[in-house]
Amino acid sequence: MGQVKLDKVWKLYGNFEAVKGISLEIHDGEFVSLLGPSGCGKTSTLRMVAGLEEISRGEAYIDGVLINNLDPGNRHVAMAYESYALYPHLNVFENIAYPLRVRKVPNAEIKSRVEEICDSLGISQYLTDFPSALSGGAQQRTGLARALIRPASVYLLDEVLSHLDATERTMLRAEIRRIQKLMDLTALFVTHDQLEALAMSDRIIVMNDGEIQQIGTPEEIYDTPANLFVAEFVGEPPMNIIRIQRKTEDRKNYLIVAGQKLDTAKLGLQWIPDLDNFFLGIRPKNINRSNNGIDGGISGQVHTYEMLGDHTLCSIDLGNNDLVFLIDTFDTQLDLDQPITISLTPENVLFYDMNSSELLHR
Amino acid sequence: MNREMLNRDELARKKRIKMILSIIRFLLIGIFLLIFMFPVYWIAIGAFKVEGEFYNFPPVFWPSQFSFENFERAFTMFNGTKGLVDSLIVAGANTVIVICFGVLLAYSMGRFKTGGDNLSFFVISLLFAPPVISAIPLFMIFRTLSMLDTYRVLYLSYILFNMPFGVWIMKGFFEDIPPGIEHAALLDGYSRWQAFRKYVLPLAVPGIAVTALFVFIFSWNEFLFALIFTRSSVETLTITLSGMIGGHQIHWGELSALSLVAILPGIILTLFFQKYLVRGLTFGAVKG
Amino acid sequence: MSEYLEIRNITKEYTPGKGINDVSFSCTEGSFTVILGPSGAGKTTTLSVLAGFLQTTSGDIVMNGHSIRNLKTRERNVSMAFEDYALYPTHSIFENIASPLRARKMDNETISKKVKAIAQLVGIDEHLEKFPSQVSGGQKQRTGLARCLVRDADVYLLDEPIAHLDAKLRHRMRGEFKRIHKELGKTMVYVSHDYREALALADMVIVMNKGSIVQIGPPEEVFSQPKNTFVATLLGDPPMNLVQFDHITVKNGTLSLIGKDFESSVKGCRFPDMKADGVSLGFRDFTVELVAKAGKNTIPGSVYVFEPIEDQIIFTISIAENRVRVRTPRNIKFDLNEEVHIKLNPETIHLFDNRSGDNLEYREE
Repeated sequence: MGQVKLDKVWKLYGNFEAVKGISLEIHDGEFVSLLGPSGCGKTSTLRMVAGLEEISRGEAYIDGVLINNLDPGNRHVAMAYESYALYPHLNVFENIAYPLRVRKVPNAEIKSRVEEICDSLGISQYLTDFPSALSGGAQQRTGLARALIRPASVYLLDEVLSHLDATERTMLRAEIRRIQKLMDLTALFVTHDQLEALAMSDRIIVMNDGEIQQIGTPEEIYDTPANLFVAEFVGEPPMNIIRIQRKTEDRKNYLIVAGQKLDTAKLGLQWIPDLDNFFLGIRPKNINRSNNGIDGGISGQVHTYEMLGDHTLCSIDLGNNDLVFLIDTFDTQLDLDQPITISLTPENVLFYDMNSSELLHR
Repeated sequence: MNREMLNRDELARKKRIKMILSIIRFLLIGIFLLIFMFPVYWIAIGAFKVEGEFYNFPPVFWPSQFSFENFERAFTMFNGTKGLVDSLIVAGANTVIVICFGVLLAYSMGRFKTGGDNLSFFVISLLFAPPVISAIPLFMIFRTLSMLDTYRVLYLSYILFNMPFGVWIMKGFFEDIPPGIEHAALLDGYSRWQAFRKYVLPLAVPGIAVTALFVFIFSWNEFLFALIFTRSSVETLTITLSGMIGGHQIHWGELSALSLVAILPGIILTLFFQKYLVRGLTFGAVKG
Repeated sequence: MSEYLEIRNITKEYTPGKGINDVSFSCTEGSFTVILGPSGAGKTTTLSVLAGFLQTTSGDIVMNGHSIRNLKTRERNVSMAFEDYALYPTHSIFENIASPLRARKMDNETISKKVKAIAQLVGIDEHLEKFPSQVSGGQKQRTGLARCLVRDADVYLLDEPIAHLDAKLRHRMRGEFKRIHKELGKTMVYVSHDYREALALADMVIVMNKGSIVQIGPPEEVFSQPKNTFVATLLGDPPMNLVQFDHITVKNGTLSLIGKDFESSVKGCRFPDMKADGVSLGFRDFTVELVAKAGKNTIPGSVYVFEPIEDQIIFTISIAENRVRVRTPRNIKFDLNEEVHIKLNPETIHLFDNRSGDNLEYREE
């Protein structure tokens, strides 16, 4: 069993509203990420579930039990921390065994369970070492093993990959995902790194300013961000956001992009919002390049480009200092300030409201 | 619903405990403050009492009327003016000497490890020994040089304990200034000396100010060397004050008045240098 | 083009095992050289030697035909931007940038003009009145850059100048560098630990490790023909995949791979005929395909884990003891522990010696 439900949960620090009445549900066996920039309330949310912070208002349930006033020890949660939080005076084995010793588990069982979990996390060779002798990656694996050693309804992972170097981070990211899938664990993972959230999650909850911006699968979050915040936060490089003005002449719709008048029919767009001004969002991967002017193309100049091994990242100046990024094949031949025409893949074009910054639907 | 009521009771109980704890905390702070501040209060109030009020029982905690006679007598009959002026001259001159030479020594030791660990240890070891050990040898040296009972003898002898202290503190400040700043200045085209004067020294100002404050106060409070090395032509405040405790009478009023004057520079300088005592100012420019 | 800056057999020892050892390279006039390596590779030491903060133990530095080895820092006409910015906290942004000009006793009008021009180029012109403590990390970095570029130097040294910026700003600044370099046309030496900066900016990449140079070459060459496994895994994200084999043979362009409990072969390779023991096969994640059935040029494995990233999926595949990462489109679906096959592209695979890590092709030469 592992279900978490938050119902209009608030976290107040004096007058400061860190978490503003959020509601969410995590289902059994699900890996859910809380994604957002620092100060967005994601860590406060996690700590309220763990019982390390008081819930200011609203109700939280684990497996259907109200946990507002339960001590952390009675909530059936296990947690791993950003800064590992290992006991420096205990070796790896004793660190991992600690939650079991507290619960008076017999020695023989402790031994077999610690060895099993260490095997799956690849730290069997460090059992007698002390935390200070280990690399960051091995320390975090120990921290994870200590969290995973005992059965819990939900496993809380607080920025567990943030302090690791790039290689260790990608390795551990994959291993956490594998263990979670194989053991069918329910997990709530806090991160500021959109790549980690996309790679590991069944569902992602994007937060900003103490409020939930969007809840969805990685594909939904990436393909159809619910507002401009999500659109610019998820994806590297971020989604291009272009200011658009709409004009109607002779019952034909035109879009004005950076002073260029474009026929919507030629752009291939099925639908455009019934507004005079709005934003157009398009991922760099969904912009195509051609050197000759084509119908439905937007012209600009190459601002700069970088060949990055397997692809080329190019930024285009459309004439008003608005840079648009596009991703092209690695063997592209380009020059600075070279004139260029780009076209958008119509099915990947999104529209956002200028005032509310929300995604506009048909 | 029963459960919710329980929750509410629990919360109310927690709040009550929190409040009681904070009341206890403030009471304790108040008691300690009273104990530590009472002597200062007693001196301040004593300076304004009239003769008889010192011997009354119960003690007078607030004089019926504030009298300035004690100040008048302290400065006229008891030589207070000379004590004040001489202390200012000696402490001021000593501070200038210690800072001017100490800055260069501290920078050179902090940045270039001049003298290595040995010089470093020698400097700090000078602070370990009590100054009284050197009193007799110094007396003999100064007598041979005919320097006894001059201003020079005091501000030179104070170097003995103030220089190692000042160098030690300022060395730490210079070590904290990233060498990258000097490298940048050298690349910009400045000489070592120019880089030091233009970019390093301004950064060390807080450290130098704090050091100067301490050095000045140490000199100001010094009693032993002043007692041994001077007689009548130089008389610092500490000596003047001790003179008020006579064989058969203690001039409590004048003593309190002059003591109050004597602690004022320390307080004023501390207030003046307060912004430097907080070291936040400098280190924002290197790595965000 | 002539060699403008030449570093000849420079050795600098601090304590044993630290410093740089027998480093030689040269830069043509107006070129952009990137020194790439992990921390502790000796990159910053190399720059410090060029700037004159450190005296070399042996070797020579020749600039424009003259040895500058024995010149003091301020007598060498070099300019530098620092990783930790090294701004003057007590001076405004304007004065920070103006500092090299003031040292040259230029008149106020010229200084003002030059500072404003360079500030605009690096995009810090709106903050000239502020102090370093009042601007963001990115703006500090730009200030350091402006101070470096404001004067006419023979060589510009840039020590990780964008390392502390966040990913999005870094990405934009890489682009700005390319423009700035093109506009100024000066010789620049740039130190970085990020392979993206090397690929994006460099005319010539110098890969360093543990105080020595490992490979020198144009960015495409260093990326696609790494000299050993160190270079192969330093460049690329994810790094180049390596699969260890006990024994390989190449005959008429057919590579036979013999592992612990499996064998494979790849046809149409460029390798000359050879036989070798203890060899790793190297390939990049985007050059291979994931297929369900064994076929031509495939090696078998099983799905360790898969991670959807943006519009792709990264599969981690177990091949005996090895883990490799393969990038696929989003519509490819395999389950955990499912058997899959990796289809290799014979033109983009590499062979490395397991023990030394050397690329076998380089060894043949």
